[in-house]
Amino acid sequence: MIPLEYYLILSAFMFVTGVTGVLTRRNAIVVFMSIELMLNSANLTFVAYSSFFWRCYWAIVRIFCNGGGSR
Amino acid sequence: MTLEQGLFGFFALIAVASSILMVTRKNPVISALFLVLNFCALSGIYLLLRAQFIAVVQVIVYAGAIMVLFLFVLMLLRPAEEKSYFKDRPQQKFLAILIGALMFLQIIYSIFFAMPGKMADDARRVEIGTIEFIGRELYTTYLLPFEAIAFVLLSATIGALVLSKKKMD
Repeated sequence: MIPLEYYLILSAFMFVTGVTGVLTRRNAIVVFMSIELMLNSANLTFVAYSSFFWRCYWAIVRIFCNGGGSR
Repeated sequence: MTLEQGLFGFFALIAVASSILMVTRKNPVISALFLVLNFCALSGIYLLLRAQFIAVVQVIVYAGAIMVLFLFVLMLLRPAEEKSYFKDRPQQKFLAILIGALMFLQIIYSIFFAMPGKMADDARRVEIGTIEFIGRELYTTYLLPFEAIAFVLLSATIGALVLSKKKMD
C-alpha cells in the first residue's frame, strides 16, 4: 500500500507548478489553465484524505470544487 | 515492487512531467493538450485511491468537457504567440521559481509535521468511492451545501449572460 505522504507530495508538486505558471506566463488563458492545475492538485489532496480517513466529507467537497470549476 | 506501486509511479511520473511541460511550452494549444494528459494521469491516481466515481468524472467533465472548450477557444480565437517578455527581465522568472520552491518546501514541511488520524480499512475504502455512497451522503447529509452550489452555478450562468449581452450592444 502506498503511504498517504506520496499522494500529498505529488499534489504539492502540481500545486507549485501551477503557482509558477501563474507567476510566469503572460497569456490569460494559460494562466487560467495553471489555476485549473492548482484546483486539481487540491482535489487530489481531498480525495487522498477521504480515501485514507474514511470520511466522505472531502469527496463531497471535491465534487463541489468540480461544480465550481465547471462554471 | 508491487503492481500498485508500479502504477502509482507510472501515473505520478506522467502527471509531474505533463504539468512541467504545460507550464514551459510557448504554444497555448500544446500546453492545453499537456493539461489533458495531466488530467488523465490524475484519474488513474484516483482509481488507485479507490475513488472510482471521481476518476470517471475527472475524465468526462475535466478532460472531456472543460479542456475541449478551452481548445475550441484557443483554436478559434488564435491568440498571438506570447511575446518574449522574459528576454528583458529574466529576474522575474527567477523570482517566480524561487517563490515556487519556497512554497514547495513549506508544504512538504507541513505534510510531515501534520497530525496523523485514524486510518480506514480496505473494505471501507472501496465502499467510500462508490456512486451509491456518495449519492446517499450528497442528498442527505450534505443537502444544504448541494443547494448552495446550485445557486453559485446559477449566478455564474447569469453573469455569463449579462457580460455577453453587454458586449453585443
